[in-house]
This record gives sequence, structure tokens and C-alpha cells, in this order.
Amino acid sequence: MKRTASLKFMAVAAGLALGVLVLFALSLLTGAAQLSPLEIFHALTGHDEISEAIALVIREIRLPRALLALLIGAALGLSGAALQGWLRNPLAEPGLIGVSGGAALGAVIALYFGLASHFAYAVPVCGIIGGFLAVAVVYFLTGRQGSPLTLILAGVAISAFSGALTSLALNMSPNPFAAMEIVFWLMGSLADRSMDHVALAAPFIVLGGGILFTLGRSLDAVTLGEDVAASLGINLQQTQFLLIAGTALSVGAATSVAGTIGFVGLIAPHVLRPFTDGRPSRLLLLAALGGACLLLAADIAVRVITPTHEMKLGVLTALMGAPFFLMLILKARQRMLQ
Amino acid sequence: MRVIMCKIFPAGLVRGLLTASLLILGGWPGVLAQETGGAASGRPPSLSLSPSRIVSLNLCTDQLLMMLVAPSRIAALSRFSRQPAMSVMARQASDLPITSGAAEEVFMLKPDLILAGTFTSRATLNLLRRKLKQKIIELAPAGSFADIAANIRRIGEAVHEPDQAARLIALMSQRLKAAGMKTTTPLPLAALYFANGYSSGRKTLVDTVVRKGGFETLGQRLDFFGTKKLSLETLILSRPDLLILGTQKYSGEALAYEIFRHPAMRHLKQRTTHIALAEALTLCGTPHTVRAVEQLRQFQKVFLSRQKATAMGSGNNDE
Repeated sequence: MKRTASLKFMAVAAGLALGVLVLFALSLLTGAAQLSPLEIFHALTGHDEISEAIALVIREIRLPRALLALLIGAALGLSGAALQGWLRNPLAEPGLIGVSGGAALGAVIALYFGLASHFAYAVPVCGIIGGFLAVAVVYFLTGRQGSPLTLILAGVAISAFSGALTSLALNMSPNPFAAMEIVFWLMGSLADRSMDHVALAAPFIVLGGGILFTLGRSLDAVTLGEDVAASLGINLQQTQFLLIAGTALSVGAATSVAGTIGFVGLIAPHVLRPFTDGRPSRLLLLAALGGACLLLAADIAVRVITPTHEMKLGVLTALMGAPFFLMLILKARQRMLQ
Repeated sequence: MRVIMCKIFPAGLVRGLLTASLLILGGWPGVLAQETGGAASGRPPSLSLSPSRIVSLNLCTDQLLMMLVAPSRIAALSRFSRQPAMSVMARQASDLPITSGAAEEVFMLKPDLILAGTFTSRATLNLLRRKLKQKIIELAPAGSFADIAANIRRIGEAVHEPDQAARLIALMSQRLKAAGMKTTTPLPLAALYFANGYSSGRKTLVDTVVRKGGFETLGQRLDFFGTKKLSLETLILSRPDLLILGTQKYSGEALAYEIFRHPAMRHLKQRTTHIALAEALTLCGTPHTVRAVEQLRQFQKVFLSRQKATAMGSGNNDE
């Protein structure tokens, strides 16, 4: 029984990894200009026969976009899985509990008040600080013992507050474009992102993700109860700090280059939980891969569905996420009736 | 070929050339305005029914109004009229009163004529129309020089200055003719690219200006209308001969400008001749818009002769 569960987990993980590869390749193939797979391959491998213009399009426009979708999707899925495991709350998700909102506010402050023109890394750093503050506030308002309801209430409050301040900061800007950019920060997008953005966000996403992956054993132990976990040598206080830091680092950096992208951290862990044999450590890997698949697919879809006027990524993830949310509610109601 | 072109025709030189001509432009508007202002104020105020408390709520009507009537007849202009980045007549506007355009503020000015653009807030205009019927004139943005002439004529009639309007139009078409249009085929391809990755296609004023300046535009090549978002990859793969960038910055930061710092854009700029567009000239259709055609025409001549020299240079290298 245990063996088949492990096999099932490994098969799903391999399938998702393959999915990430395929979607990554599809993402490179998707764009305003029709380019053949061979041209793309040549552009990536630095083949002589490829024209400079095509090489530029692939290497500097499509590659960073695919890389960011992969990294950000993984960060969102992973942090969603970690938060849900630790808080034992199925609704814990970076977007819903306000981490993304806080991070967007931090990034907006760094960008529009001119910090970024002195120091490029001010944007992800402020995004991380904003995310950290938001998750810390929500966490200390509700704690691990809090009900799902209080967590969501605190998250909604923090999200609304940070969203309002983000809009306010952009509305007050003397620049006529700033107000239009509220949509980007609240709905997220990967359009026209570059290798510069990969360089800004990737180190923090990898660091934060790495921290979250180390928590697998602690999260597994916590499912047995806090006393058992403590007797197994798990330092709960430390785990708690690492969880907040890892989430803030990965989601904060992701949000500071792509805006707020909701629901990925909710959908990916839920869909993949049945294949983990109830072990959060396994869910971490699956949710990271699943989140990457989801965001890569969503980012391909926005380019295919609305090629001339790209819709925002957050619009699509919300369209996918809202029905999912309703399904969770129906499930919860059924459980109550039983 | 590209490498050689870079050597013969360094981007720095081009930029220098254009900056110089743009600087010249800065002093130009004053000349025309003084002429016009003088003409309007020199006439005795015989037309007692002429509107004398005119309010303009739109950047474009602001500028046309200043050219047509004496400053004393202007009750208020829009606040954008003072922005040098948007208005070629910012200096003259700085001496005139401005209004935020809110309905109650306009009421208090007791205007006898209101000029507005078709983009002026509907709600405001409806509110004003209820009280001030037949005194509101709405102007659609100009997409061609014929449109500019029509707009000037319309305001000229409304403010009872038809002669001054005719003079402005005559001056404009004379200069436009002088700029000349000697067609060489194929024309070099010019791509317009603005903040946020927007480009202007057919039926826009700036497209008309660039075509009259002797270039094929991306709007023609890709056959798109109006101002729309153009992806960076479409821009790169269209392989333009000339990039016309609207890099005009307003105060304050915005993500909109990130497109100009994009590594792909930096590469494209390295190997393509690029110039900055003085957006104030083409934002509104005024007689000053001709100046943009004249500049581009001059630039096109230099550009073509350099290109010819490059072609000959590379031909020699092949031998």
C-alpha cells in the first residue's frame, strides 16, 4: 500500500516535470510573430544561420517570460502548499492572506518614489519587506490555532488595505501613466518582462523556495500534532520563522516583477494533495511543479486568447480560481451536513 | 553591412543632429504666436457680439485659440496648456488663467463660449450644456492636415476671426508644400514607438506626419489603425530602418518607460538609427505640426544619402 502510494507520487511528479518542460517549450513558441521550433532552437543554441532579429526576440523577450512564469508559478504553488500545511488551513494562499498585496505595495513604494533609480534591487527588497510585514501581521492576528474564518478575515483586511494604499500611491503620482499601472499591480502580468527582471527576482525566489523545501520534515511532523513534533526534535518557533521568511522572499520577489497573481497557490496544492499520501513534504514538490505548469499555461493562454491586447494574468487565474473556491465551499458544506 | 553602417553613420551623430533641430524648434512657436496675437489685437473690437470670455477645456483647442484671439478674450485654458512636454505654446499659456475643467469652476468663469475636445469628460459637458446651450463647440482630434485646417476654420468662425483663421491655414499649406514630397521608392521604413509599447497607425496625425516626411510607416506596412499596443517582438521582426521613439518623460516614475530600458530594445537601438520625437508637435494638430514634417524631411534626406554612401562603401569592400 505504502509502496503504491510512493509510486503514484513519483509518477505524478515525473508527469508534472514533463508538463513543465512541454509548457516551457510551448511558451517559447507563443508570441506575436510566427517562429518555427527549429528557428527557436537555433536562436537558443546560438546557431550562425539565425538572423539577429529572431535571436533577439527569443533570447531577450520570450525566454525571460517563460523563465519568470516557471519561477513565479513554482514560488506561488510552493508557498501555498507550505502555508496550508503549517496553518492546517485549506484556504491559506499567498494572494488570499495578503502576502502578495503587501509585496505589491512595497514594490510600488520603491518604484514610484524613485528608490529604484538609485538601486535596482530596491524593488524586490521592498517587495519582500512588504510581503513579510503582511504575512507577519496576519499570522500574529490569527496564529496557528485560529479558525479558517479568522485567517481569511485578516487576509481580506490586509489585502484591501494594501491594495488601497497601492492605488493611492499611484493615483497621487504626477505621472499620467502611473494611475493606469494600478491594474498591473493588482492583476499581474508577464508582458514585456526582460532578463533584467529575471536577474532581480530569481535569486530571492530560489533562496525563499530553498528555505521552504527544507521545512518538509517539520511539516510532516506537525501533522501528528505539535507535542509529537516537538518530541521529534522539531523547533516549532524556528520552523514558523523560516516559513514566514521563505514565503516573503519567494512571493515578495515574484510580486515585485509580475504584480499580484492570485489563486495559483490555492489551486495547485488542492489538485495535487490526493497524490501525496497525506504528507506535506511531498506536496511541496508537487505544488511547486504544478504551480509552474499552471502559470506557464495561463501565460500562454493570455497570449493566445487576446493576442493584440493581452489580458492580465491575474484575470485568468482568478477566472480559474473562483469556481475552485466555490467548490471548496460546497465541499465544506457537505462535510458539515455529514 | 550593419557594422559598416554603424561606423559611417554613428547613432551619436544622428542624435546630435536631431537634438539640434529640436532645440531650434523650441524658439519657433513664439514667432507665429506673436504674429497672430498682434493681428487679432490690432483689430478694433467692432464685433460687439464676438465672444470675449472664452474657456477652452482641451489641450488642442487651447493652442488653436491662443493663435486666433487676443489673450484678453481668453477666460481660461486647460491645465495641460502649460506643460512644455505637451503644448508647443506653453510659454504663452503661462500668462493666462487655467481651469481644472470641473463643471462648477467653468460655471463661475461665466464663459460665453466653451471649446472642448471629443475626449472631454461627457459628464462635465452634459452638465454644462444644460445651462449653456449652443455655446459649446466640440472638436475631434485631427488625423490629417485637412482636419487641422477644418478645426482652425471652425474655431475661427466661432470666435469671429475667420480672416485670422484663413491666414493661419494659408501659411500652413504654404509651408507644407515647401517641405515637398519627392517620392523615392522604396521609402525607408519608420517605426513609431511610445511609452508602454504603444504605436500609432493609420489615420493618426503622427502617422500622417511621418509619411509626409518621406517614410513608409509601420502602420502602413502592418495595416493597423489608430494608436494600439505593438509587441516588442513585432517591432523587432519588422526590421525598421528608423526608430522614432516617443521618450518624452513626464515628472514621476512609471513602468511605462521600462519598455525603453528593455535589453531587446537596447540591442535594437544599437543597430538601428533612432531619433526622439517632440511629442508636443504631433499630440495636437496645429500649424506647428508642419514643423515636424519639415524636420523629418530634412532628416530623411540625410538618412538616404548616408544609406547610399554605405551601400557604395560595402560594394567597394566586396570587390
